[in-house]
Amino acid sequence: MTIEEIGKKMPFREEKDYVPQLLALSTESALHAGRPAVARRSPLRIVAMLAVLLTVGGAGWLMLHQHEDQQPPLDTFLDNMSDEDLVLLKDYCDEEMLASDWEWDL
Amino acid sequence: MALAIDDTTILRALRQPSNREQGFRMLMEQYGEKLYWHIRRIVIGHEDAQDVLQDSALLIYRHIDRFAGDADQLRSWVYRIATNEALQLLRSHTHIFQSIDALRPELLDKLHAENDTQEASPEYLLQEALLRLPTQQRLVFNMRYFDDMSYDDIAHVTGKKVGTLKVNYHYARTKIEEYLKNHTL
Repeated sequence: MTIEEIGKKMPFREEKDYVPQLLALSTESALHAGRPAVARRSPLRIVAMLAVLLTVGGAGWLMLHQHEDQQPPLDTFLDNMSDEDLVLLKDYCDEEMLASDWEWDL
Repeated sequence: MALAIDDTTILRALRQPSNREQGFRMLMEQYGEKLYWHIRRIVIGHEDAQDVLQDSALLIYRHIDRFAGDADQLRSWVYRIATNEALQLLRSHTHIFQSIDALRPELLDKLHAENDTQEASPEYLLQEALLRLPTQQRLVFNMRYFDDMSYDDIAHVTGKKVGTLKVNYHYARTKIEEYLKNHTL
């Protein structure tokens, strides 16, 4: 028997029923997966992403401001110093920072 | 009956972003079933062919921008993607440093399991003979005999020279004829 006599038939079950379905499925899933990501996002998903961003951003903002509040103000720092220390500090600064136009209010 | 669409029309649609999806549907209508059988002849199992076809369809759609050829090369371009994906799947079943040819016993088992004809039917014997060939010869024979592809197109799919492909086909044919001669009653 020659190759041509056999022909091109395959020894598998005729997939008449499911090959068209498979092709439709492959086509649609490729189209779906190949579309730009934004187009695939549902409005609900976008709202959820915004909510997460706002929560994370808000928490970060609060943490930053809390941190700032915890810094002792300069006035408090100076108030807590003794007069002798303040004089020493002033002398030191006068010597080291001659170019400074800092006004001491003792 | 659906009208045949030529590759120039398909390619024109694929290259226009607004018509790309329509172009891809036309492409799959034109070549989808042929691609399925091309893949099936390489991987033998239906489940594997299904996976490879889906991966190939996705790759074709995603990389259509990279196709710089003309309409005459569209078929060989999609066959190239499908062939590479099918070989990749077979390669994933091999051990390190093992050739795809080493999968012959598994592929023969699969052919036997999915055979829907009588034992030793001519079409079964032809596939059995094909599985005994080196992968390169099997690929060339499949594309030349089952898909009626020119050697130039097969060269575009495989990246081999036309002369090499002719030799591959000649050897494949000789071995198959010998196998059929020894195994038919």
